[in-house]
Amino acid sequence: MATILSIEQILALAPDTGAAKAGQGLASKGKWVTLGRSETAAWGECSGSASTPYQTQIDLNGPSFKCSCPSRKFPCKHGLGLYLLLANQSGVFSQGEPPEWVANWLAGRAKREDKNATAAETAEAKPVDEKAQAKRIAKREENVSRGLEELDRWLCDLVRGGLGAAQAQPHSFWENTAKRMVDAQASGVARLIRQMADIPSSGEGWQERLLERLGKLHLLLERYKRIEALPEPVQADLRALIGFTQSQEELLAGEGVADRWAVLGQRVEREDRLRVQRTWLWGTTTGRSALILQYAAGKEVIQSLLIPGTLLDAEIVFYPGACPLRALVKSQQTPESAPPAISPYATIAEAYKAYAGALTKYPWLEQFPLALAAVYPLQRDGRWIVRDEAGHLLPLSLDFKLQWELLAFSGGHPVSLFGEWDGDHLLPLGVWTKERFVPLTAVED
Amino acid sequence: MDVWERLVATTMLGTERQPVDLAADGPLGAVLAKLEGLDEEHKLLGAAAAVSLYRRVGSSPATDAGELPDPVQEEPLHPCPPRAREQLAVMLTGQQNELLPEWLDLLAQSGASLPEEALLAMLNLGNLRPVAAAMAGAWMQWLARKNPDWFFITNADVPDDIAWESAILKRIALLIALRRQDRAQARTFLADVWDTTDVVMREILLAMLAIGMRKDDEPFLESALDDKWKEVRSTAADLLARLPHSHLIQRMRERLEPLLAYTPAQPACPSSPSIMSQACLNVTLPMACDKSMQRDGIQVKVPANLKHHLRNTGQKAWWLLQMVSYIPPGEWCARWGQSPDELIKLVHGHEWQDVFQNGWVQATMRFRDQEWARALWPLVLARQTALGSWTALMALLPPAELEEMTIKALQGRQENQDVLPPLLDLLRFYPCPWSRQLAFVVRKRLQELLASPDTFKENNRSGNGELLDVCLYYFPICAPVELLHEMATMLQPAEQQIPESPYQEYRSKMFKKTTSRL
Repeated sequence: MATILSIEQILALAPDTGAAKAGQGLASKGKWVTLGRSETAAWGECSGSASTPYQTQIDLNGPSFKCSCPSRKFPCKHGLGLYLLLANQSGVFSQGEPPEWVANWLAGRAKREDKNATAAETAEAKPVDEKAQAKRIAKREENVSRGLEELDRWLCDLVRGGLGAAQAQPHSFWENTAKRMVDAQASGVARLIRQMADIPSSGEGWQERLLERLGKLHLLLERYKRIEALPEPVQADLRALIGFTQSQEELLAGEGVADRWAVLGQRVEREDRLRVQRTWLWGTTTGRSALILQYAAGKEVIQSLLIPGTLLDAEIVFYPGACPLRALVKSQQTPESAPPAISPYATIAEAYKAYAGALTKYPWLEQFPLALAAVYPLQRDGRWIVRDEAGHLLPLSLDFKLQWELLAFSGGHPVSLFGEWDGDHLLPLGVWTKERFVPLTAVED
Repeated sequence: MDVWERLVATTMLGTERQPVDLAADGPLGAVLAKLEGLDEEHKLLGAAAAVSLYRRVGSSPATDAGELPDPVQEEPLHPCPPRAREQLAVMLTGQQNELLPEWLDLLAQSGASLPEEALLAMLNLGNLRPVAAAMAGAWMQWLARKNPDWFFITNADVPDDIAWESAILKRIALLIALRRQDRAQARTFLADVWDTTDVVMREILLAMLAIGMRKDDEPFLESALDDKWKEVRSTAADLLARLPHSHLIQRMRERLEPLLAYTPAQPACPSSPSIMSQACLNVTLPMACDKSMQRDGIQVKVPANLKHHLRNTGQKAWWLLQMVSYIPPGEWCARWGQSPDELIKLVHGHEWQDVFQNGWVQATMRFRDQEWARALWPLVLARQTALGSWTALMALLPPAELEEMTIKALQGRQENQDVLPPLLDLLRFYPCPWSRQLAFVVRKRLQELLASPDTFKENNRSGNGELLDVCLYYFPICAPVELLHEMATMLQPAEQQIPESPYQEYRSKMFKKTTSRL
């Protein structure tokens, strides 16, 4: 029998607060014409504004939702309402075999899963026009190389004229270069340049921050020039940084790491016109960290069934690299709500060492997962830090808005904390308190 | 200037104005030496990459010279039960938050603390801040001391910059702070701002008088009974009802006097004194709900949300019910010389059974009468009364009794399924950690459940299957720590041999979950 998530966890699945609220409004028996459930699924018919009731269904192994309503949110309020009702009052659901409309969907899902499993084989079976492909690849690499040569000249001009002059440049100075990199099919490099655009106006210390970025970009260009001579994982890193994408099907066909993964934190950020959701996992037996990235454009909703504060039996495939963190979920079971116990760094000094180790393998590292065993959240001269018994400190990110909550959890005692470290600031994403794990994810507005 | 500072300076000016100086000691110097021979721009960029990475990798964390924080003393209150925490989280999202004050009240009565994640939300909860203030535990006091905005929690002096006419919240904050320092002055403040406040504000401010309420608050509350807004009147009536010996209670007594006639049991006829007639209670329903009754908080109509539950209670009976709820229940015992149990028996099957049962339940919660709570408890637990929350009554019972009751329920051998739901609720909402004895009994019951193959035929939402789940779930949370290891040893063999059933997979997960928490 599939586990039923708790109310908090169901609400965490909501794409936005509006859907969560509307879902709660629908979580009462009176709103539903029929309600049924089996071992693995729940379904119901909800009378909405249309002439026929909406058919809502949940595959509890997942969970996965489907509804006949026109809403583009996922899960929609009906799906959430149905699940909340199930969690609250399972008694009002009649047990039985699913009706045809549910059975068909479930069968379709099962089929698709089989298909995914055999995707690798079919991919291999597909006849490929190798010549045409080789030609395409060669063309692209030529494009990229030409673009990077141009970028090299641009970088030289920049440091020749001095950053003082660069500070006076308009935003388009950076944006135009980024666009040229997109044209040269090096979107990853474009992203690195866009990240620099705001630094000159970011206040004290901007010169050092910008110089560090310029250095890293230069390092990427230099290494890429002699990529053939480098070990394979490094090649993979460089290509990913430049913007060559790797086929997810191909990756998923490879072998994954099966483990019981603790879902520790989640964070949504804007990047260009996209929203990126980072979810951090931690393997409870392998001790490995994994980062799952999901993207959504515009009003599109990030469909994520990775819920912070749960444990997940899953097989995960890492992108190749010298310090592999980014990964894809190959297959997963129903998440289980349990405080994820992990082995954190005992001291901040130890965490620093681990970060340094990762940096030597992969100097372009942007976020590093840090779990700290015992730190005190504190306010010093209006700034928030965490420090350990030894007196070492990590400043907290200015993007972190739940400082007072974090303080409330500590009560002046040391707490265990999980967060992202970018080399300068820590962004806490979860805290362990009295045998519980509480995700510190601010609601996206 | 070290090599990094020189690089930054050169970058600012531009390599056309200042050449790059790569002199550095040690291994870094050796790395940088390799850049010699390149043009100035590439020299600079290459050095920037090498030096910044070198600095990052070789750096150690900054240090904090300040004092470590003064930790809060352990909360004397016990932690909020998980189920209640979930309810609170839902309410704080704005759903059903009208229940929040009542929920907080229940929490306070049960002696549990607010969960930490809710503290902030409570401190910033606008209208409900006062409620938060009234029940601030050690943890919240500690937190509030860290932020001057929360002075109203800490009894600190009222900051000077708060003007009388400033924002609503500050008014509330001020009133609470004042109320704690000087109750009379707080009343004067309330009277001063009274005319310029609207209905919502009046209701909230008035409710603050509950903090340290005493007899001298009565005149003000009485005057509020004449307020033009119904909400304000009913808040005042509610407060007066909680004030011992208030005139409002006295008026209720006088209204009830002609309506209830109690005749004790007496010899049926003088010749045979051993045959007693039954005691009886004659009831006359009130004919009208006049202005003065309404002034004292009697609602004319049954509220819509109670209509369904009180469907056997007409409008006049509803008036009577409310009047009964305003009388401390112990008074009936004293007056008629009967115990609560005897009185409950007396109205059993009575035409107005619902009126008395519900009225007494309300009164018991209002006046926090332990003896009555004990007597009414079975009725409420069996869900026989419409009003009253049994978790509130539970909190009125002494822990020892509650424990005894729970143990009895656990040892109950009846196959009667009716006893199960109350037992489940007892375990789920048990307001304090389990004693060793209780934990032993739970363990015994668990052993029996595990030994019975029938248990595993049921799913987790019914019968013994549910009981198994509840026991497994709460044991690691509630039982004394020293028993946990033993429990884990006991569960291990059971986990290996979960009998085959449709729920096998679920059960094995449940076991794993429990053992992992043990």
